Amino acid sequence: MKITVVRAGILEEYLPQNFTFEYYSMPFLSNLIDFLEKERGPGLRCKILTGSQLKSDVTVLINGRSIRTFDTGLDTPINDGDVIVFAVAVDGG
Amino acid sequence: MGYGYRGKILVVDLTKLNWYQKELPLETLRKFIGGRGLGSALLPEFVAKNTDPLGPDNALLFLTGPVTGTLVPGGAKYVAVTKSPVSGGFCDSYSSGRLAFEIKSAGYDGIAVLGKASKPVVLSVDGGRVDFLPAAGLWGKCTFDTEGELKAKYGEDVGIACIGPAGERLVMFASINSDFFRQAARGGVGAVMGSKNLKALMVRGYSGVKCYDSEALMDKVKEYRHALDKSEHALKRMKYGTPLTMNITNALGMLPTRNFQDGVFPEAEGQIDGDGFIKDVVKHRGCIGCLIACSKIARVDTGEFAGDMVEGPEYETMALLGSNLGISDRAAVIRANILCDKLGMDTISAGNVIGFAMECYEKGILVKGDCSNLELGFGNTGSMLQLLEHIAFRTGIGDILAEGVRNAANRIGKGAIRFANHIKGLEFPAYEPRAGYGIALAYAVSPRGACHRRAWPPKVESLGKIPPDTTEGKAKIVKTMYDENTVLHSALVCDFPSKMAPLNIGDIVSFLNAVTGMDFTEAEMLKAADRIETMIRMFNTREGLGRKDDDLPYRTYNEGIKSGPQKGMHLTKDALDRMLDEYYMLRGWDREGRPTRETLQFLGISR
Repeated sequence: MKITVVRAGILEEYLPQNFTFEYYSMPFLSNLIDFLEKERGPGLRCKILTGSQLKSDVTVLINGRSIRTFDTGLDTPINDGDVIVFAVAVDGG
Repeated sequence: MGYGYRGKILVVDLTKLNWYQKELPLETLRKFIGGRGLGSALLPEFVAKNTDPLGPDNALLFLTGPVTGTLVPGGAKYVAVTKSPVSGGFCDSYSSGRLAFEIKSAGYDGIAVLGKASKPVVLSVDGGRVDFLPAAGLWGKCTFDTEGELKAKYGEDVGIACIGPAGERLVMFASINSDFFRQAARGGVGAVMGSKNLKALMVRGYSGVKCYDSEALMDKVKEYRHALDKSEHALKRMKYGTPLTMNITNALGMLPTRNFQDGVFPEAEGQIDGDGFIKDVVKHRGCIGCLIACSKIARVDTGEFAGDMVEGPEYETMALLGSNLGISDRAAVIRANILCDKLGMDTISAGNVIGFAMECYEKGILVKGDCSNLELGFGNTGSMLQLLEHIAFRTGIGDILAEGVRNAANRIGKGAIRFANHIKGLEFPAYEPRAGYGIALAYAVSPRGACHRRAWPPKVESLGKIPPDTTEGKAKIVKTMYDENTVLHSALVCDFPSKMAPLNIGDIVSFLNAVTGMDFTEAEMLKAADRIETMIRMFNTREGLGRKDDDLPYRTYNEGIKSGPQKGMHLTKDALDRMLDEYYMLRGWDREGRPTRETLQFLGISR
């Protein structure tokens, strides 16, 4: 499956701004975070999670929709072709 | 008046060349707080019904808040309040700058400018002294030269608000500039200043603001400082400034692109978004007393515009003069930003009218011969820069575009109104309202027209738990945000530092009480916010605005977003109507959006 990861205002020390990769299986968001922690450097997980919860000032978007609207948290499924954005939760601009 | 407030404003009549002091009763300050709230109370007193906004009978108020001139973080703002030539209703436009501190230090909570000078003047307020200085030598000069010359002659320690050529020519989105790169820009306040032949307001004060409990204030500031250190949002704003927002809006599919036809602009990535912007940042700058320093100085080092430096561009500028015009050349956006600052124009409205002209051109409504011989296709940076000058000096097609997008569309005809993105005549800020119904409602009900500062629903409907494409609960969200921001904009605390720690109403009350000793309560603040919104609604109702004006433009209803994650999204009139009904009900207004007798009574407002 093909997945695109975008970072917006966070994780600059771990990820390029935008990259696409293919992987044989990535069923849930938690799998993606585990994968990135392993492949892109330790500490990435702590930047976005407190325990198994998303930090309050961090947002994850899947195809432009906040995972907070799904109520499935890290168990939100990921599908082939999805765009996952890790973003700081801004307020205004 | 002992603490925080000065208890009076200076009223200056430019026709009669005289002035007086108007006392502000404690009860008025308590009910309306200051800034936006004070403007809602004073504007109807100074401006009679049906006054021509660009005539001598309009008033232009420069107002501070109770925390201005103190250590409260983000307390360096003033608000210009007037009857807008764009909407015909209440307009409040904000800026940071030394002017705010100097007005307070001169002993006033604000300065009201009435009448019209027979010749261009600089209004000088030096402590208790008021002078009308001839401005013939400054008239025609840009804002940079105007402020530079005044500071060279009168000292670096004066606070200045001035207009450029656009304000002199009554461009409908002319700005009032302070500290060279700061603008009160929305709603045509610069045109009102120009209509009064007022080239600049220059203020110097000599007495600091006394605080009721300085120790409590310092403790609260320290507490806030610690909260900031822990805020990822604050740390990232310190690094990227406001352009970071573009990374988010592009990801959310709500970035204005090619005159709001689309919601994504892939070319922005690493160019005009936060990641691109920081490549040009050479210095960070904060307003007086600010702990964030969200403002950045950007410098262009190579290419056609090498050597250009600007404080900015902010997100709104990057989006409206960048993606909205199909432009990803950061240096060109920086040059456009400098031109707008120098000529004295709002970058948001300028980006809208140019995007509108570009779409009209691409769709054959305008041809080269109509457009001062410019190729106006999207992405044409040279034409964009030339058009800005044409607008400011009202030459060629610029004379039509200087009237703002609604008037320009009406003059051009041929269906051009379909490409005019505005509410009450005020052009859209840089958030696509089709991508979030809360944004659409917040724009629609904004008294000054399309505005992103009264409420920012993406915080909860795009980045939070609430789906963006539903109407349920949106009225409540928008009202709550409006009320919180009304407290901020009346106390005159900047949005940014207050949203980053963040500060809640209780925190603002603690700051206010430490400064004024007036024992405000949270409930009192929220009631004051309701009162202020209702006062402003009454002003607009008096001027003929109503439900029919709380509406969205053609594109928002009739065309889906072209691509990106919100592809196809748009709003129906029925959806807006449902949200309006609920919003009016929550405010205690009738179905037409008029405040009811019971509401006025409850809020202590007399007709």
